[in-house]
Amino acid sequence: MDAYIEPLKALAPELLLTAAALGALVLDLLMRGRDSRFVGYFTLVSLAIVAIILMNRIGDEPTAAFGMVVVDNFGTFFKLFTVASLAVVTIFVLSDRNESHHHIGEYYFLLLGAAIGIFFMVSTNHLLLLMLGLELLSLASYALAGFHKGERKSAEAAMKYVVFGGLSAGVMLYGISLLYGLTGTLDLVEMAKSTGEAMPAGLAGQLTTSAVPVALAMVLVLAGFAYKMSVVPFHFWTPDVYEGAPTPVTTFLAVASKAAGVAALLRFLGALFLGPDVQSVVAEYGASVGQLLAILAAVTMTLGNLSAMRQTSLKRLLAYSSIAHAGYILIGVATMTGAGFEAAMFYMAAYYFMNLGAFGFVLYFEGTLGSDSIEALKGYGFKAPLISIAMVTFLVSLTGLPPTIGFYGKYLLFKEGLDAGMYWLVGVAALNSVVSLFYYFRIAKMLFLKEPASGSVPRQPLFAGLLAVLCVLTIYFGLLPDAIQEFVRNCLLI
Amino acid sequence: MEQLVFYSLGLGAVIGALGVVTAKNPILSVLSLLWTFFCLACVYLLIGFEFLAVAQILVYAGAIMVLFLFVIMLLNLGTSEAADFDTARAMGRRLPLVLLVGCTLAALSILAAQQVGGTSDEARADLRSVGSLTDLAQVMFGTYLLAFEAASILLLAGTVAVVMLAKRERRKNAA
Amino acid sequence: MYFDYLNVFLFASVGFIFVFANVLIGSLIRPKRKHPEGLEVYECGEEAIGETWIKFDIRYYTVALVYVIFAVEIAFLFPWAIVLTDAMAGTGAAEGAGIGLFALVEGLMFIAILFLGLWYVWAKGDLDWVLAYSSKEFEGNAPGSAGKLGQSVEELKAASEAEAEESDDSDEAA
Repeated sequence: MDAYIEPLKALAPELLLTAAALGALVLDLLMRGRDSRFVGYFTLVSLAIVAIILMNRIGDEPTAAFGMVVVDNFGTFFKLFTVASLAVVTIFVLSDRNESHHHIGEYYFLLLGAAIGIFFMVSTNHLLLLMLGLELLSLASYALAGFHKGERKSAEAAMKYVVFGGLSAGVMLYGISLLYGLTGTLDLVEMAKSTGEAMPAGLAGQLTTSAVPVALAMVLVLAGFAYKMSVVPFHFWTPDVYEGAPTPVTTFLAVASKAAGVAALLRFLGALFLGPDVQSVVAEYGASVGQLLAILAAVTMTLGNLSAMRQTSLKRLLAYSSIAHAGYILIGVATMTGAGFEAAMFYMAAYYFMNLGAFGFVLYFEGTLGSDSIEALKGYGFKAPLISIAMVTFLVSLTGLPPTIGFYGKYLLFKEGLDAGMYWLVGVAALNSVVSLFYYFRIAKMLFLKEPASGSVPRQPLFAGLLAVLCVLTIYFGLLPDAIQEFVRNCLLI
Repeated sequence: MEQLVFYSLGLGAVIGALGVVTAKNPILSVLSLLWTFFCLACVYLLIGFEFLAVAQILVYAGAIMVLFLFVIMLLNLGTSEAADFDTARAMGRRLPLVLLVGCTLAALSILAAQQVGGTSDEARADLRSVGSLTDLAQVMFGTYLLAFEAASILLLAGTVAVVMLAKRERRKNAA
Repeated sequence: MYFDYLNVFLFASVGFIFVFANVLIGSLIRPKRKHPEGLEVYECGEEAIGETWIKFDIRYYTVALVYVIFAVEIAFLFPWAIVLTDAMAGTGAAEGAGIGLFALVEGLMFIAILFLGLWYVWAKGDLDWVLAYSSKEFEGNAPGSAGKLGQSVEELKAASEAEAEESDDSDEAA
């Protein structure tokens, strides 16, 4: 019996989050759905408790629970990331003017359910649990994307998301089944360790015979991660879903869901190719996977940035920008070094501040003007100066200019890319940053350089305050990135 | 003998799958899918996964199939609409692409299958022993215990999502 | 091993053949109708209008989906039920594993979580079939008046809720 109590303690954050999700659902039912804001407050409180537990975990020795879950700092980092972004998303939901706030208790339940999925995804070396977590996250996301199902765009977003999600989940499962067939295990560490003497031959044994089946399996599995991160060629859903989904859900997809994809990819590659007991054949093979990722990175960021230039809807623009950012993050991943992974994680942290801020602005602006077209932004900066200045800061950070956290994040990525000898990739990324300057700057120009249209903007002081805090943090960590860098280094996988 | 049965079942499943996408009448599509599910269930039986085979019939051929039928009823596809869509022509244009992707995947899979190894008789006997229900339960409550509980959350999220999405929209009436 | 499932196979084949044999025999011995009138639903009397395809209410679909979810639950619980006796007593395959109470608690949690789902479906009114009468009212509405349709359900629902609880749903009206 005791053998089961210890692992349960290790799983405390997951269990608490599950309890919170069930609690949110029960609360919604008990309140008979009159005013769903209470469920939102309940969600915030439980997220705070989970965050405190997670903070206390940082720096603990890694442990395993039930043979499937690894409780380590890497997982804790991304769990904290998820909780922190979910808290902001919850605040977004609470201050969403387009939401009725009645009978929407499911909203919070589904958000928490998606977070449970992410928790499992980021803390397992076992492909079965990874897949389950991914499915839980996807299922909740589909429903959330179609939350305003009466609106054509939202329904369409949910539909497209389901079709693409189902396809890539199927592709990924096929890859996983091939990996299982080739190696006889679903545990990544076991997979990388096995010497190839036993039957079935393990990854090392397979690679010495012929790399083709392994390559097929790798490509198929990577497709699943690419879909979650919206990397080309699995990015097609991104603009439509981001545009159609309710803005808080878009925020969740752009920040938490993407981070979950990055985390799972980092753990997959880290456990398979960079672990301590990895066979040399396998580690060498990892380098060629890195080459593939480098090409994907270049294509993704170029396509994302070029498409973003032509957009008229702010949400679509940010969707393409998020595709481009997935490309930047892949630079760090493609290096296949600990330092590169660290840079990718740091960039995720930077991405948290600037993207939450940018989507927060979209929500604010949508709530007051009822539209998200860039044209409607004209002169908005004179009507709502505080959040417009904040938005400009986020845009500067997204472009990667000093003195923001986005600059330091990009600097780290480029540095690691150069250290790994991928000069061409860094060159492409630098060119891309210049391209991105155009469309980010176009928004800033709209905000401040055109004469204001008539009409006033209703105030949401708390929400504006949150954006201001995000803005200050974007600059603060841009000037003093050491705190975050130290934190990331502590949480590194390898 | 086993090979023969396996390949004929596989062929049956592929033909069924082709029927799903090529059939003009949606009901025929559904019946083809049913046939595919049965073939897959027989494949599971062949490798000794009795419970999986039964679950496949129960859940897929039973419950999921009902869902498909309801969707067809729900969409109210009249005979005219179904006839307008020329499946054969639509398929014909994409045939080269479909063949290319299908053949590549098939060839690579066969290559992979040849390399897998572990298909010795002992390995297969090992595999069979896992198929029995008691062993399955042991594995489910031992190694995969956490996945089992995660599945319950997945199902709950599914229920909530269904109810939420199937409900008639109320809020937007005022707008 | 091939003969393990021989009786199952035979049973299935007999069932399969039985169906098609009957269809075949029927087509051979039944009288042939030569005129289209003979194929009408009613040979004499009312002429049939429209097709037999009608649009189903989405609530059938909801119920079917909920059924799928619970079918999967049964599929999961079946192995659990099989090993529970052994696990509790610590005999058989579970000997020395010491998972007794834990397996019980775990299974119960699984059921509890899914019952929460059932409660949810129930509380949200997806199991109430009484609303069926409301669909008749919509038939009079012009096509495309989806907004009105939703509103009527809402009003009906609010009215029935108010009746049931005798509480004011003023916020819903607003």
